[in-house]
Amino acid sequence: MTLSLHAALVPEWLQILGGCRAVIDKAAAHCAETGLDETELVEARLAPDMRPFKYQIKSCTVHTRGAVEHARTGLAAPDFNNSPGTLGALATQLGETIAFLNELDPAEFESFIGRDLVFTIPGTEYRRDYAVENFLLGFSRQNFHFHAVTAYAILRMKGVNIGKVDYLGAWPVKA
Amino acid sequence: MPLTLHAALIPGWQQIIGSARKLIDTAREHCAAHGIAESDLVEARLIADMHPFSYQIKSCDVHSRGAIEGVRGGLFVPDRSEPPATLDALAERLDTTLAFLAALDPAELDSFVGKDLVFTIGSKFRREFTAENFLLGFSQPNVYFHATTAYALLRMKGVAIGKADYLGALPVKSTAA
Repeated sequence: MTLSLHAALVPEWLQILGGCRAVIDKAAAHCAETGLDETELVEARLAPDMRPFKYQIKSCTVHTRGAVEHARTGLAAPDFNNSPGTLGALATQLGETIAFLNELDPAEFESFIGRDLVFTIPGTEYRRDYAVENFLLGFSRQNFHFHAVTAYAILRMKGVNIGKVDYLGAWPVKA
Repeated sequence: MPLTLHAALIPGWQQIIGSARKLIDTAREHCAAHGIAESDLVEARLIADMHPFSYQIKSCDVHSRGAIEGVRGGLFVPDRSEPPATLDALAERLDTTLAFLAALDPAELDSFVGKDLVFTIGSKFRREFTAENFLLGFSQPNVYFHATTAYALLRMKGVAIGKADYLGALPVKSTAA
């Protein structure tokens, strides 16, 4: 028995995005309880030359919703937009991403298979060619998890009271 | 055109676990170049009450090879054994994982779809899944969770790595064609 491309990707994206969304609420609660300035978390990094929490959360949208938009056009490039600067704005962005993914038509997803996608970095010679399904399964998915886990790791390092079950979100157990 | 369960999961795992395997070599070189004790990286944690690098690497094996073995028997029980304690032993563990994944028969993976899987911890915790939902929605996010955390630990410790090292061999079209 086979799977649809939608079944292989979208439920798990929604699961982990739900986990990230809940973790932002815990971060806000942590600030309220401890009197910590929210900026301390929004701008927190694992290493000084690494990107901050807000960028990690923004990238969860870039590599899910953005990836689907790239699949539609066959063209992909890095998103250099600024990241939302508050926990509230980051939560709103993730909420919009979740709504977007919930509206996706599995049939549209299937139509992506076998189509071409070109990833370029404007102003450079960088160009990589993918079949759309390989881009989604082998680039977008890994990037998405990378940024979602890094966002979690930053809060964990900062002492927010979260554990791996918060990251894993709602497991797809039997009803 | 639909996908096989194998195509949906295994190449992504090989890609990311392959990267984790290389990160261990990079970690070893970092120790040699900077005169750092290996145990400094093997035991590194993001925060005191979190599992160390060795556990993160071991968990990449538990949630990939271990998950497939669990599905074969219909039962997944987390592996509570001690993680390998040296970079060499961790590298060896991931070599075992990668060889196991490379040898998987896609037809066997497809035969898992619709099978039952029970996940238990002790006598009190029990969750029931279909095998494909377990692999896609439990094992898969766990593999990425632990692989990324392993990367994050080395990054925090100052090892010279970037996201490209985590992403590994991207599934681009063959340029030879």
